Amino acid sequence: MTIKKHIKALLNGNIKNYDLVLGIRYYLRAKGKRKNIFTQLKELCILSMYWKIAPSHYFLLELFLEKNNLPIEELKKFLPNNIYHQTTSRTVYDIVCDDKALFADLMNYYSIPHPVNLFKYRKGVFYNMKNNVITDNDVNNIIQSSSASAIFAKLCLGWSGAGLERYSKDSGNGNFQREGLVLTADFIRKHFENSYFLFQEAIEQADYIAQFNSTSINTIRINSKLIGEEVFIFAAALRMGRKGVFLDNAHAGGISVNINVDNGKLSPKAKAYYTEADYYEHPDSNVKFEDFQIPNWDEVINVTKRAHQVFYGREYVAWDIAVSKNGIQIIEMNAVANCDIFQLSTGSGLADRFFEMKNMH
Amino acid sequence: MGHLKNILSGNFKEYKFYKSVHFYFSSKEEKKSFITVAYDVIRLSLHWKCFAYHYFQYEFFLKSNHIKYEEMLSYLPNQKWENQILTQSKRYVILCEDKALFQDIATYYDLPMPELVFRFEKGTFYDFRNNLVEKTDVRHLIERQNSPKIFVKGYYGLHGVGISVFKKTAKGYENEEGHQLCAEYFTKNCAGQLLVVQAGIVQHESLNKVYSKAVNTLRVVTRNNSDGTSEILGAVIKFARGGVQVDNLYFGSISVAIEKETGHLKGSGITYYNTLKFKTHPDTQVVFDGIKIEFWDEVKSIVLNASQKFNKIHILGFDIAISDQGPVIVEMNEAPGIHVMQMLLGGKRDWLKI
Repeated sequence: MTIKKHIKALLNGNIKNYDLVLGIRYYLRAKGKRKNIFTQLKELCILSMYWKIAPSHYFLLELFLEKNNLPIEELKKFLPNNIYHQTTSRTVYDIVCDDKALFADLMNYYSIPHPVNLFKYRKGVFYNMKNNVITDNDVNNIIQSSSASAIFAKLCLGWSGAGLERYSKDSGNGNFQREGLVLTADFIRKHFENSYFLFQEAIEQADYIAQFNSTSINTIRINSKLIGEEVFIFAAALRMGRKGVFLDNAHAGGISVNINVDNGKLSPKAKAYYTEADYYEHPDSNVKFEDFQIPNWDEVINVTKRAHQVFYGREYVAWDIAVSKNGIQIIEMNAVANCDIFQLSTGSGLADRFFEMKNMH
Repeated sequence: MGHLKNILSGNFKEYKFYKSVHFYFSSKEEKKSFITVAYDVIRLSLHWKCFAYHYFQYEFFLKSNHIKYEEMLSYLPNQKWENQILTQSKRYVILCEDKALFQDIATYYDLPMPELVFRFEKGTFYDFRNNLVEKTDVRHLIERQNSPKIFVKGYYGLHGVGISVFKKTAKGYENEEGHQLCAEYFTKNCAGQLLVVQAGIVQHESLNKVYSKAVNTLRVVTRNNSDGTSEILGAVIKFARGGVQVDNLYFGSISVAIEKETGHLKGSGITYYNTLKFKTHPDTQVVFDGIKIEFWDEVKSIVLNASQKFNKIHILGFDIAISDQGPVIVEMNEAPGIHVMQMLLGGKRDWLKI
C-alpha cells in the first residue's frame, strides 16, 4: 500500500487496519481513571525506545489506566503485535492459510477434522471439493440435500470474518436463506459475481461452548510454533460472539478469555477490543468464566499439534478451532495473527514466553 | 554483490548476456551483417523494454534465417514471459515449487502421480498423509516397492538438479555410488534436507525404443482462461541421451515438437543453446519425426483436468511421463520455459494474448 493510499484511507475514516489510530481514539474516549500524564508520556517513551516501534499496544491493552499501574519492567513484558508479526512474518506458504478452499482441500486429504465443505464458486464457475466443474443443477442438489442448520458462504481470500455470510435453514420450506434471499446456484452467480467463495456447512457446536453464546460459533484461538516434528503451543483463548451476532472475532465486537494451555481452564476475566469493561461472565448469557475447564482440552491440543505437523510450511500459525458435538474441528489456519487477545484478558505480558519460543530450534 | 563477485572471478557462464554473445560468436554458420544485427537487437529491445536476448536464442542473426522484423515480434523474450505469468499467479507458486505439497494436493484431486514411498524432513520420516513413520518402518515401505527405480528429490529442486536414482538390485535399492536406500542413508547423508521419495515409473515400450535409460517426459503447456476453461497451448517431448538418467535440458537432452492434435512428433530435435538439429536420437538412431505418443488423448484429458483444478495459476507446464499403464504427472511448473517451445513451435506471443 502506498503512502497516498494510507492517507486516503485515514481521511475516509477507514481506520480499522491502523492499530495506533484506533488506540489513540480509544484513549481519547476512555472513561477510566488515567495515570498521571507525565507518567504516561514517560512510559510511552520508554516502551517506544525499548521496542523501537510506536507502542500502539499501550492503548489497546489499557496500560495507560491507573488500574494497570505496573512497574516499567512489567510493562515491557507486554508484547506489541508488530513485534509478533515481524517474527511470524509472511512466507510463500501463506496461500495455504489464506485460500480457505485450498486449506479445506488439504485438511480433507490429511484427514484432519474440518467442517463439511459443499462446493466452491469462482468467477461464475462452480467446483466440487475435488475441483471438478459442476453444473448449477448439481449445486442446487448439494444445497437441498444438506442437513446442516446453516450454510456459510466464506470469501476464500478474506480474513477477520470479511465477506462471511450465513444462510440459515428455513424449517418450513427447507431453503437456506438470509434476509429473504434463497441460496441457489442462480442467486450465487448474481450475488457473488466474480468473487471466489467456499460454501461450508455450519457445525453444531457442543453445548458447553454454546452456553456462552449460541448465535455464534465460539472458537478457540491457538497460536503455535513448529520446531522440527514438535509443536509448541504459545497461547490459547476462547473467543465468543455477542447475542444475535454470528461472528466471534474481536473486530466484530466479540469477547475473548484466555485459556491455560496446560489444563484448558479459562481465566476469570474476558475482554473485548477497545472497551473498558471487564467481563467475569458472558454479558448476554451470564455464564461465568472462572473455573470453567474445556472438557476435551487434550483432544484440542492433539488435533492442533497434528495439524501443524502436516502443514510444515509455516513455522508460526494461529488456529481457529471449534468444538462441535462430534469433536474438535479446525475451522481456519491463519498466517497473520495478533498476540494481544492473549494479553488483554489476563492483564499480564507474554514477551518472555514469546522470546523463549522464538529461541527454540 | 554476488553477481559482481561471480563476474570478477570469471564465473559468468550462467549469465544470459554471456550465453547470447557466446552463442553468437561460436556459431559456425554465416551471420547477418553486424549493423543489421545491432539494428534488430536495438529495435527489439526498445519494443520489449528489455535486452533482446531472444534475438540470439532463436538464431535471428543467421543469414539463413529469413525472418522478418514483424515475425520476430511474435517471439516473446523470456523476461516478458516470466514477468507476466508470475505476476498473475505469484501467490500460488508454492503449489508447484514444493514437490511434496504438489504431490499431496494432486493426489487429493485424483490426478495420476508417481507413488510416494515416504518423505524425509530434516531427520524425520513421514508417510503419504504426513503421518510420522518410525525409522524401523521405513524398511517395510522400501521393501514393498516393485518399481525398478526409486527417485529421491528435494522438495524445491529445479531442472532435475539433486535427484538421486536408486536402482533395484538383489540387495535392495542402490544408487551409482553403491549406497543402499534405507533410513540410515537419509540420517547420515541428508540430515538437514527435505526430500520426497517416489517410486520410479516404468516407461512405455514405445519411448524405451527411443531412449530407455531415462523417463522421457512430455512438457505440455496449458492456459487457464478467465471464463473457467483451460486449453493446451503446446507440447514437446524431452529425450535424455548419453547414458544420463534425467531428461533435463540442462543435461543436454533433446526436445522434439509434438503435434497437438494427433500426438505425433514432428520435425527434428534441438538442444538448449545449440544450433545442432537431430533428426534421430544420437544413441539409438530412432527417427523422431512421426513417432506417435501413446495415450495422447489421455494425456490431453489429464492435463486439461489438472490445469482446471489449479485454475488460480494462469499458465502451467506439466511434465508427463508415459508409463506402461498410461500417463502420469511427474511435475507441474508455474513458469514453464518459453525458449524451447518457441524454438520448436515458433513465436508464441499469442499465448499471453498481447
